[in-house]
Amino acid sequence: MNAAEQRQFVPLSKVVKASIIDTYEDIGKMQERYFHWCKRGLDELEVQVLKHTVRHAFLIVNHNTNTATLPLDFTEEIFVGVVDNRWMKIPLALNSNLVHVHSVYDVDAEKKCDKCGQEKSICEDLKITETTNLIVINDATYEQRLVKKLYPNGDYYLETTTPYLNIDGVTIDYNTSKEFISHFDLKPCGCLDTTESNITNLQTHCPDCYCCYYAGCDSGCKTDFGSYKVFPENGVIQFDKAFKFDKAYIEYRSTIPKVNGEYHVPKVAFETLVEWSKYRAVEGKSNISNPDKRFRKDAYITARRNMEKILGRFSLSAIVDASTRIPKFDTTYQDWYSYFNWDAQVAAVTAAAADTSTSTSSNSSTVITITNTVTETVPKGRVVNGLSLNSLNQYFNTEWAGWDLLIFYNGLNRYLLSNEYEVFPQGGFGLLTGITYTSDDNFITTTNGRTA
Amino acid sequence: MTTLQSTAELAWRQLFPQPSDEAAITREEFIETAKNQFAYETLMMAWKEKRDEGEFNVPSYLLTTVEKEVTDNKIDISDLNFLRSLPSEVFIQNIGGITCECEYVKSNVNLSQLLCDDDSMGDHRKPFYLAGTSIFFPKGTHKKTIPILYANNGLEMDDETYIDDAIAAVIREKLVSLYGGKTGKEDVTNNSSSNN
Repeated sequence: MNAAEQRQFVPLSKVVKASIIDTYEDIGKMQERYFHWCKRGLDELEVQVLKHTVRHAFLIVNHNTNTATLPLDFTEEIFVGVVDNRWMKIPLALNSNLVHVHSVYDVDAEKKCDKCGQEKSICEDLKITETTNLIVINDATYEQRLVKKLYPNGDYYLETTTPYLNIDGVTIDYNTSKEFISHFDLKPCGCLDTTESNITNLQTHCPDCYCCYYAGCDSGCKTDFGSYKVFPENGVIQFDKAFKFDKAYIEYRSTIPKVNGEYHVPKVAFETLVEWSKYRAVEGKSNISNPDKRFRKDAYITARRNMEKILGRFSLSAIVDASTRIPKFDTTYQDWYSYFNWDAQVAAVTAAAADTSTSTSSNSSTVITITNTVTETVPKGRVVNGLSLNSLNQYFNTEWAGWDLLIFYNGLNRYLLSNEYEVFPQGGFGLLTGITYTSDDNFITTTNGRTA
Repeated sequence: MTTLQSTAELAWRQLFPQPSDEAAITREEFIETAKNQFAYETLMMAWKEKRDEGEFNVPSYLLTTVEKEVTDNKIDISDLNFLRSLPSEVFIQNIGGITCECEYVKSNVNLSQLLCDDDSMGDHRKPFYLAGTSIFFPKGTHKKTIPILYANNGLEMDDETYIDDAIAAVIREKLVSLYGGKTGKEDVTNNSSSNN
């Protein structure tokens, strides 16, 4: 089965009919059952083996509620955004703070103080502000609770309830300590008074409460495309007020596709599902012997393994293509680039004469000095200062004969030439086997000569 | 093709060549026995074919088509002569016509309850089940008039039940074997009265 055939879908009814034909059954007797089993088998294969279908859809946005209805087969979104007039997709940010208000039910509560008209929720939020930390005692985990409490007289305390090991009874006891935080001015009705000191205390000790009730609105201009949040339990996607488009583009993973109202299955899974249905037809029957049930199950397992083999195949062209893309790593490469103190070399080159070069060589070592003969960037094969690389070769053969390595520096790039006359940009080469390098501020000394 | 009645009478005359009015077994009882035997032999034929061939197909000469009107998602089939002796209610061969669109899938009361919320059959297949003399469509129908293809029991308008000759032979032999040891009182007189 080639890649194109693997992507084909067939109706679930074909699987059902194939199962009935194989078992010589009457269609009226078995059709409904086989549909049920096939669908269950397909659900299982989709979870375990088959890749989820990725689908693309445009959703019409209702600007009254700034929502759009999710597709019926939606399971998980991959991308949400809009498509511009260049057919490019522009992503929207996920905003987990969005709420789908139409699915939220109201809980009736008294919201305002009868006497001063202030929102009661301010005091409610201040009264109990609780966080918990986990503490491990003897491999067991306990909670340390930190509670900020506003007392009726306006005192704001931090109560810390900490578990500790009571060594007398080898039990866990709790110790509660109180720490004074601040004092809030309260109105006669008990609500928080809006004074400057209270606001300052709120900003310092209860920033959430301050931001919720006393901070000014952000009047900055939003230029982003908006944000979204998906509510799969309600089947809608909620956009924020900044989203002004009529359509949203979504890429999502879908459940098994229904085409023209009928479930379709990947062609590659056809025989597996047929065998699965035939196995399910006998699995629960008491008048079928265990070896017969086992035979049917083995047939299903065989078909499934064949399917998994097909799904795991790669074409030869894809393998060849991948092998030509990977970088060619030189296993014997030694990062001797790091031996160089380039900054010092730069200083030395700058201070030295332009075309100074000296060399001494011996059978066992070659001293290399930097020259700045190269005055421009040298890609491989280009002429350098009127000298072609072939000319440089001549230098290797004459003046620099016996040199293993030559370094050119033009103030921008450092190039290394081996006596094989290849120009390497910095950091991108290797292979000078058998050579070790030491360096000081100005020179690089090679030892052990070059081996062929 | 022959009729069930003539088959029964043939067996009756074979067993009781000179029957009197005081025969312990009446001709009517004989015919009733023949009817029961016909149903039984049909079932045996179906099972045997299923066992030998691996499948059972309703004989084509038994198949009949009729169009019925759907009322309140059900069809009244009390006037149809089904061959109910066939196993697993295969006497209902097809509803809605042999087509790949608007299929009707045979179900039963048990499965209809279990799979009432199952959507594996897709949107254009609808189940039906038999209960008494009606066919029920729990999820409705596509059309108001639906053809039904069923296996009839041979009972024709003239109350004659036509059956296959081979089946008739089997029934006759069975009747003879059932009643062979029972002899009725013979009329040995030569007067015109059958009651001696």
